[in-house]
Amino acid sequence: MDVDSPVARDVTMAVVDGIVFGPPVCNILPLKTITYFFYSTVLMTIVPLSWQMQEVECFVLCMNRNMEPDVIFKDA
Amino acid sequence: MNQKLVRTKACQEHQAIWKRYLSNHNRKQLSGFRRMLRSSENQPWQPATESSAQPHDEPAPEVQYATYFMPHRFYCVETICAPCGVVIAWAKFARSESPTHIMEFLETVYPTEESHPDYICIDKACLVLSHSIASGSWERWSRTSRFIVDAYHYINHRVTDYLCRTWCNPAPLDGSAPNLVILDYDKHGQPYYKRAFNTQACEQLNAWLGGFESILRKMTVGNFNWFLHTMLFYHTQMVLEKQTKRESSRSDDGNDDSSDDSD
Repeated sequence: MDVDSPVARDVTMAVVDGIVFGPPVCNILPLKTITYFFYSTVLMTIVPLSWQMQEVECFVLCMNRNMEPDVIFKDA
Repeated sequence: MNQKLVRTKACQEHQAIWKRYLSNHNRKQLSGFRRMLRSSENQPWQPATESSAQPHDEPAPEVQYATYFMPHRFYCVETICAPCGVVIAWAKFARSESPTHIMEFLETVYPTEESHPDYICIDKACLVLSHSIASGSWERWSRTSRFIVDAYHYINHRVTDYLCRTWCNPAPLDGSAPNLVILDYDKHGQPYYKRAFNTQACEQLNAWLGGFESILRKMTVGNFNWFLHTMLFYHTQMVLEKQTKRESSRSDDGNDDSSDDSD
């Protein structure tokens, strides 16, 4: 296919890898099932956690601004 | 069914095992040898650790635990990255990083053919490819995607593995995958081939995540999810910011050049 063709598009790649660590598996079976169901695979774009991040980010910004006059070593 | 003895988690028959477990896991013993020695540095007379890293070009053995007195841990955290470093998704794998789990993870993240990436780069891509062919899912995936091994792990895969060498080569120089290899020029103007994508993006991300391991290991599942997700969210934002800066500096350079030319 010619690169100038209207159907040509960018090549995409996904890199997959694992790191060996994890939290302890919960002992309570129903909670474990629910946790696995909701939290096992987390898409960065659609999960409710991403919505929470927006709030957290605002909170951290506000906190930083409020803390600013009290930072002792600001000019150090 | 045997009844547990009071204040223990074992029946009469297995009391010896319970006592051995208690002596190995009391507060003094556990905090002592876990801090001082890593799992690979255990002496022959010390209790063997039950978890070990799995080889990435061999099928993972089924892990048999000696006892179930305490809850075990999720085996690993699996991440999907774009080659630029942006995190796309992450998941916890309970018992092993098996090809079955990896395929399920990919099916969840990329449910439709339109969403499939062209290349999927995994350290055990040859195993995942074999599994996909055996399970029948390859018919669907083969229309859109190819599995390749990342450049770092490819050198450790067997040269005699025909499937791996033919289908999972991350940079074939025979022209079979021109999207993976590009021509560039060094400072002397000599042409050379280089990889078009950074296949180490996840490895680099995991190296960074490894710094939080000691904190994350002590968290509950909920806290673990939240903390890890927060860190990955900020990491992704940082990567995007860097890209924007790079793009803007490039466009500024381009504008400067064009204004110089016009002058």
